[in-house]
Amino acid sequence: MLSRTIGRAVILLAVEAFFFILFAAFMKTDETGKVIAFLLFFIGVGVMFKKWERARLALTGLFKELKIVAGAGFVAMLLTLPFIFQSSPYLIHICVMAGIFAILALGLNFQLGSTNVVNFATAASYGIGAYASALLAVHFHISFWLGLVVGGSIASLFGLLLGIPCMKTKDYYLSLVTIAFGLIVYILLNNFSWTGGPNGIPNIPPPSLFGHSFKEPLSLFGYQLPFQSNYYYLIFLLVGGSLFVAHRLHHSRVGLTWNAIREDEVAARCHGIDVTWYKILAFCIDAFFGGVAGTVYSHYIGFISPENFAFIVSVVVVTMVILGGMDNVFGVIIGAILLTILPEKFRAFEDFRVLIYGVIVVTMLMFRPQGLFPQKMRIYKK
Amino acid sequence: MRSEGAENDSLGRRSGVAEIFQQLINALLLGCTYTLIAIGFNLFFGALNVVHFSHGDVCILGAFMTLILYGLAKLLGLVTFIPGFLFVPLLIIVAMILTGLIGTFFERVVIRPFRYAPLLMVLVATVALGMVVRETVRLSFPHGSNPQIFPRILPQTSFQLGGVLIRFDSLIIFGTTIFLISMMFLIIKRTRIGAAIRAVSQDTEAAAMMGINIDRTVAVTFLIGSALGAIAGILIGAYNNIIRFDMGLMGGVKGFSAAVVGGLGNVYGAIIGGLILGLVETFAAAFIPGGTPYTDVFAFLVVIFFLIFKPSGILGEKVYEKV
Amino acid sequence: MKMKFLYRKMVLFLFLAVSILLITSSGWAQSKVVKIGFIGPLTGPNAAQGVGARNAFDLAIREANASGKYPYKVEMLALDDASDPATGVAAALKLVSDPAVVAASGHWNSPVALATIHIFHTYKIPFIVWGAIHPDITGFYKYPGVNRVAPTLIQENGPLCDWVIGELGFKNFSIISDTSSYGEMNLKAFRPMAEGKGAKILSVDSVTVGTTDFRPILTKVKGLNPDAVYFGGVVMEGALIRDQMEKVGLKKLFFAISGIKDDKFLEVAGPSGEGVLTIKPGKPIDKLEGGTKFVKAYEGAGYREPFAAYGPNAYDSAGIILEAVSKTGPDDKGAMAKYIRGIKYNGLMGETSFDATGQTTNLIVSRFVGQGGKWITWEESEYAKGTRKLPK
Repeated sequence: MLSRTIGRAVILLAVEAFFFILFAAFMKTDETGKVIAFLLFFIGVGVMFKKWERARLALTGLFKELKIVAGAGFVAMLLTLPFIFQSSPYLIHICVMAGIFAILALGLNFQLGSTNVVNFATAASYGIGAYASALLAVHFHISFWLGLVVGGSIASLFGLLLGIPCMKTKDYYLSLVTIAFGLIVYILLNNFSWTGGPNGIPNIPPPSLFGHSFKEPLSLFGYQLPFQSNYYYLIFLLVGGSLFVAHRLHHSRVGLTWNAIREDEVAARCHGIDVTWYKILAFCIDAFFGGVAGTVYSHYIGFISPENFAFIVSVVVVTMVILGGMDNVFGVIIGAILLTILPEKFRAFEDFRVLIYGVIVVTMLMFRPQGLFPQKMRIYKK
Repeated sequence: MRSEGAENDSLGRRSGVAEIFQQLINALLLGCTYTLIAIGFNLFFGALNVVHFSHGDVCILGAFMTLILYGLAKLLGLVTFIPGFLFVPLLIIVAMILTGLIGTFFERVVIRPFRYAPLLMVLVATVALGMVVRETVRLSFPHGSNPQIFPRILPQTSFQLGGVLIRFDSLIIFGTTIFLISMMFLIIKRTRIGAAIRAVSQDTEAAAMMGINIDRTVAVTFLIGSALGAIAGILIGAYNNIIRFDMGLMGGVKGFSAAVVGGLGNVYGAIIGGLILGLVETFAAAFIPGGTPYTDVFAFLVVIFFLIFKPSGILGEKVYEKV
Repeated sequence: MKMKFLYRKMVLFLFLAVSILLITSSGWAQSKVVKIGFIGPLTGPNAAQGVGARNAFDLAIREANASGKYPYKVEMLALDDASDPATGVAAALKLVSDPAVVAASGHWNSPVALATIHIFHTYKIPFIVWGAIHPDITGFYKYPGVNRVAPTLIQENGPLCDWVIGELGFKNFSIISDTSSYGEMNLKAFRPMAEGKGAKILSVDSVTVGTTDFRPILTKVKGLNPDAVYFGGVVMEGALIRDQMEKVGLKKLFFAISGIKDDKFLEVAGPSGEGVLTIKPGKPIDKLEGGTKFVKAYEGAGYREPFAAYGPNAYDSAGIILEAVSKTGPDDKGAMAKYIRGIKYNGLMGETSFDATGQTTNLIVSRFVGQGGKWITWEESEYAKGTRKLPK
């Protein structure tokens, strides 16, 4: 029944558009009071959604049935964001940062979520990727696109170097080593003169594509979008790509093996799984994602310093994964978005930020360790 | 940044042996500050197999407790009631009790729920708990982000021995460290609660079947460990004359490292581990050109080295994973 | 059944109504106000500096509004950079995204300033740096819209060298600096200056900010027997080093630039703070024209925190911006930047004008010595008079 399907698709898109407009309005609000009003409203909607069985089942069923329409609609709306925010480079900037952290969170998810390995060195791979690509760009004029690969690979290499000795040790030793490693990298970046020392590396050249420099405003369809939009579309593609990779890995043998290691390491070993190798693989992939995120960050801001890669950044990414949902790729992206946007909206509470992160982690682990969006159960078709 | 060698001509004289001895003493004292925290980690990890990453922060919390009590006592005019030489020990004892109780509270609320859960949970939870403690301390004190002055409760005098300057506060710190280690040894080996702790660590189920109250044993362990940790924090504060809210992070990491290097499960491991870290850092600062900003890096590299090649530490027993 | 149906309809209606309200409300607040941005560390370890500066900035704006003679209604928009470049960049973007913001002033930490000045330059918002003292901020980038009221490290270390080496005659130094941007630049500035004046550098050590145990380094320095120790860093580490110098028996002169000029230094150092030398840009507040008036006004305004070392800087920055806006109007940012660059402003810091790179030409410094637990101006101290002796 084509007309019926079209009708349902229209309803679906209308619902999506409605919430999208709400989201855009939320982003544009400034006063703390209105922000809280919005948040209460969203929470209220969420609660009602849970309670209202019929509506919930109807909506989720609709989404599942018309997956492609829903997805396409969602993507289309995201693509229009820079147009909606064109008067405010600040808002587009927040979206770009949310995207960068989404990539970091997706990377960490492989270790923390899929394999249950606690890695507090995310900031280190983030920083190594950023510094590597920045130094190459500034001194050797390596292009950004090549830098993405190189930055990711160098970070991954460090992941390998760190992973090999650590994987043989007990879990909490490993966490200690990752904390120590993160601190070491920070100190070294701060003290080596070739990394610019505490002043970091300035004047990192922006990427350019087909002659269009990312530092220039983007003209599309007759609109002049602030230059942050270039990065917005770039990060959109990168997050999409990372999501795709993460999703495919999760549903592959590798993902299954990681989960098996998480469930019972000894049993996994008995099955002939080389636990050490898979853990190292997770570490390297996590580091690669971190390096990619770091490369984007360094070329975007154009200036990096060791402060950007302190221990607290690792903690923030861990919080994002735990809040969003361990081993749920959509969940961690939501976690990243939430924890990038909300601190900006609540600038008045900047002083309490770290405390709130700690409280979030402890409460989530105590009451809802699966996160906001629990990992979907693996269904085995008979 | 570099540390450059001295132009040793007519101006400088290096008093060689005395200086080395002086640096050894510096190393020893620095090592003691790590050992004091490591004792607690040894107890929690080694004896009870309980992950408690926030122990460093609890130690520093003990020091902050003392600050609060000191300020309160001054405010309430108690200083006039209590004779001078009793004031400081009383302050310390009250701080110890309070910190011990807080430690037990943390165990009850944050650690016990995860007793039978995957290790990941309690690990991340205690790291986050440490963060919460640090931030709460920072937000509760005016200008909490900046170091707070710690009262000079130790004697500031010194004497010369050979060419070496020895201060009385250093002796007190060293002595207290040895005393605490011995206390720990006695508690674990000679008391009933110590026997209970050892039983629980060997085989929890069997211990329960023997009538040992697991919950109570763990709680008492946290009480003791946190109370002793308060002494650690207080001495660190007295040695440096300041305390900062985030000393617990570095202190915890280094204290845990010292415990691991020395060997978890052996009470004397904490001293060896602390000493090694203290020596590495002091000698890196004093004798390696350009080494001063990298002291932490050297210390951590040593720790990583041990974790790779001898994870049981110097004095620890080899641990076999039971299936 | 009917009730449930009605209930559902009501909820749906409420939902729609609230959503529409929220969506449209975000377009409401548009007022014709001139906003001036302020960025500084309002949280974190340097919060005392940032909050003090913000209060002084606020005072200047309040006074303008209250005078009744200022042509526009001015509002301060203060944002926190938390001493972190990433937060600073977000704050800067927030300021430039607000069409009501005409100019801004900011930063105590040099890495943060080095990250944000490009944003203010790109979006052509005039920006005055009140605290960050890295030379590159003006000297390297030379943005026409960026000016700085605070002297650079070089402008501070010069007079210090003249004083300690030239006048007081100390010749052999051990340098200890911290690994932050401030410490590193201090080292780079001081060393050639001192050697140029005939001094000898016996050793150079760098310490991480946050270190508390300096005994190993100081024991080593003691063995080298310098005349004095130069410190390139800030209050806490400086105070601890001074205190531990006494503890290891290194009883020599200790001197530094304005990074340590804070009452907290003397508090933490205790009795060892006696005889410590430092300098500070500008004149002591009570000796300035309008200084006592400022102090009174500040106390009267009821701010909870003191105006700290950079309050006068921020106050003058606000004054400069206010004058520029009143003369060129809030819309022509180019003219505003030109006006600021060419200004001769009389304020708390003395007479401020900017050179071709945007750096202040005001080089007055005051000398201080720690005496009896307080900072006393050198000229008035017992040391200058000879009744007390510096460590030799």
